[in-house]
Amino acid sequence: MATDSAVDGLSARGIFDEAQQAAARHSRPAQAASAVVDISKHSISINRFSISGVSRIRHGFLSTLLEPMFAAQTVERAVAESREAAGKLQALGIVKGVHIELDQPQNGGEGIDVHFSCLDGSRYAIRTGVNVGDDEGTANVTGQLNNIWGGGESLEANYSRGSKTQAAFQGLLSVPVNADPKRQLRLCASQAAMDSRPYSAHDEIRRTLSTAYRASGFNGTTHELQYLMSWRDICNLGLDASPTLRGEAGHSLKSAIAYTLAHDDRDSHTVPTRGSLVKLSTELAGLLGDVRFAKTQFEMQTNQRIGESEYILSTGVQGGLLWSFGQSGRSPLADRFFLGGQTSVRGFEFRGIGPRDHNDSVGGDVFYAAGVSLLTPLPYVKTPALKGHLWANAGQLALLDNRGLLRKPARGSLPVDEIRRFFMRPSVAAGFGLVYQHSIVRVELSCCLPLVAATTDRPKPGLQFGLGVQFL
Amino acid sequence: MATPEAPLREILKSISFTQLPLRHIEPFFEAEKITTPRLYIYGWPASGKQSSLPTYDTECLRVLAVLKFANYGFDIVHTNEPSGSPNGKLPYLLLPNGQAIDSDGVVAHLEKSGHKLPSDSLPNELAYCTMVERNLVPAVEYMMWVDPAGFKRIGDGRYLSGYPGLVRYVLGWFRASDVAHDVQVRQPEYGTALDGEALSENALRALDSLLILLGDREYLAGAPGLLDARVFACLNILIEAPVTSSIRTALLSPDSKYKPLVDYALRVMDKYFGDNSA
Repeated sequence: MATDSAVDGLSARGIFDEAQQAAARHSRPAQAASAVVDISKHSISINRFSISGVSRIRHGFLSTLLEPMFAAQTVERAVAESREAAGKLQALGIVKGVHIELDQPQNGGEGIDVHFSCLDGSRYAIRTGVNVGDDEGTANVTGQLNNIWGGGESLEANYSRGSKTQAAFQGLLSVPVNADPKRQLRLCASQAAMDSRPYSAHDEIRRTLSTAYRASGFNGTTHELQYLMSWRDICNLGLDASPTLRGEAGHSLKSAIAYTLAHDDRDSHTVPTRGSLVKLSTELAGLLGDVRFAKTQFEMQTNQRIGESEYILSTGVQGGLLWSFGQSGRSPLADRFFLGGQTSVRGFEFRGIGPRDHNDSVGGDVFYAAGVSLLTPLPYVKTPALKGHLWANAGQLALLDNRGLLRKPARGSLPVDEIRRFFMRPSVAAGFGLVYQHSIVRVELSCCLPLVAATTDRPKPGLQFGLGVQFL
Repeated sequence: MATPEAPLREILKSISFTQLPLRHIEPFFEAEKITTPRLYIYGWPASGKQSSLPTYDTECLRVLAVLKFANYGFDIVHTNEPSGSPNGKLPYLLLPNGQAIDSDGVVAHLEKSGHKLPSDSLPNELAYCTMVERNLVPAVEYMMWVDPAGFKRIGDGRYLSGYPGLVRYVLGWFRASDVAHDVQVRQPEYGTALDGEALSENALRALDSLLILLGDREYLAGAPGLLDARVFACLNILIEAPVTSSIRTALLSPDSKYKPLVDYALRVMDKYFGDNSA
């Protein structure tokens, strides 16, 4: 690709000649201190750009990608923008590697020519893997087509099965916006069949179509605006399913707009030693479909080393509110919050806190959870991946309807008393154990001591094993 | 016998995991209490008395009749959502203890709870029941779910109207396909050529047999039983449902030979369902 650009300032020949002279002066030791010439601020312009080694790349995409480079007016800026453009090509999977060459114009004009010698990226990939998290392990196989239209677009198809996910399919099309890998438009279609036993005697089938705009900013901040339409089916109830669960069974169609803001500057996702995580999501459902609600959820975590020691103090807070304004006044089971488990509030079974009818956890509309952890070095243990762990967790979950916080108060009580009691009477557990930091997962082995629990909660005293990425 | 280890054992027991949690609090959830058994069926409560039937589904009306015949106390809940049933089909009976019983288990439950149906006095009742299930029930199901006019008025218009558009269309298609498949299973000799006319002819032949069986008796089986429940359900849906069919025309024509059957159906209706509406 070749482009003419206006000449401004020192020509390329002049710059290179001066650099050669500086190198010659530098070879004389007595004058080495005065031999360095800083040409970064010299004015320059890009005359021509060419690229080789790429099998497919769209002209319009390349124009957008290189626009900042051609706008560069100094050597420093030109080099930086060239590297930026090369980095984007790699990030989008169009190329595996780029060698940047700056040279005098071949046609003898002003400015400099830039050439990218590329190692072409893989057009397709098939990979298998194992995911762990939230008390579940899944095995998956993924097929991916890269750079399908020459602009860094990718099409991914994924199939997974797990301990709770009976079968899940997903097709994902990602398209970069303005040739920027940090800004993407995504179109996703998925179906998942999940088995909620033994926590709740039902299966849930979700068929979802969604489109999202995702942008990653500086300092680890990401924004995502999403529209989704999801058909959920609560079905295959067990023989011992509770009456409450039978009343929740059936089909529902959700049409919602969701926005998620996340800022994560922790040094590790699994066992962070410094930094913080702030995540806020909001969802509004009801434009189409038969469920109408407003839902918001937040999560905050901070991690700090105590002085110069190996002790790490972590604190985390989570909360959420689901406000239904459908005709029945009750929220759909598929959108409720659940609480409890090794990655949530330790010391309780998975989904072991909150509303329960017989043996079925039915979820809640409002929840809060807080946790504090102290990671300690272990004597005679040299590896920093294994640490001691002291922790305390608390949380509570309730429904916002006439079966939960808004039910008719007992004689002599006020409706607000139950809400006050909700915030003042969390389920609490404390414990100690070990934490192991693997590269992709965090492993915990804890001795749990549930201290306070509702009579319908499922506390789990004793040893509890946890495997996941995000913990409270 | 007291031993030196006994106090230590008591101390260890007091701090053992079996004593956890240390404190219990009242839950923030109170499940809805059921005091009377509930029968979940297809059908919306009518606004204005459009029909005296609580449902136009044959199986739901049959089970309703069985419970009424056995003098079993229960409430009716119109749900139109079969997923809550143990077998994924309506009707199902929900007991105060939380147990759910699908339509196949209702008779056994009645016997277990001491609500027996009047004793069987018809030697070939099972054969007649099979004849009705093979010839009469498919005609009614076809009329409600497969025939376009009936599907629009009853199947989709009444039982699926609570779902949003896309779900309603897909569920309706699946339900109609299931009914068509069931109909072909019950009458396999017609294969894929089965249609409404053939079903109507078979249904009328079955009605001829029932007419002879009824004679001048009050009930088909002498006392209201399983056969009466089945026939009552089919006949009353054919009579009451706002869907035109050749069977309905044959039943309700002024000089119809099936008038004794129609009178029988309405008689049972008045006696056991006099205050219900669909």
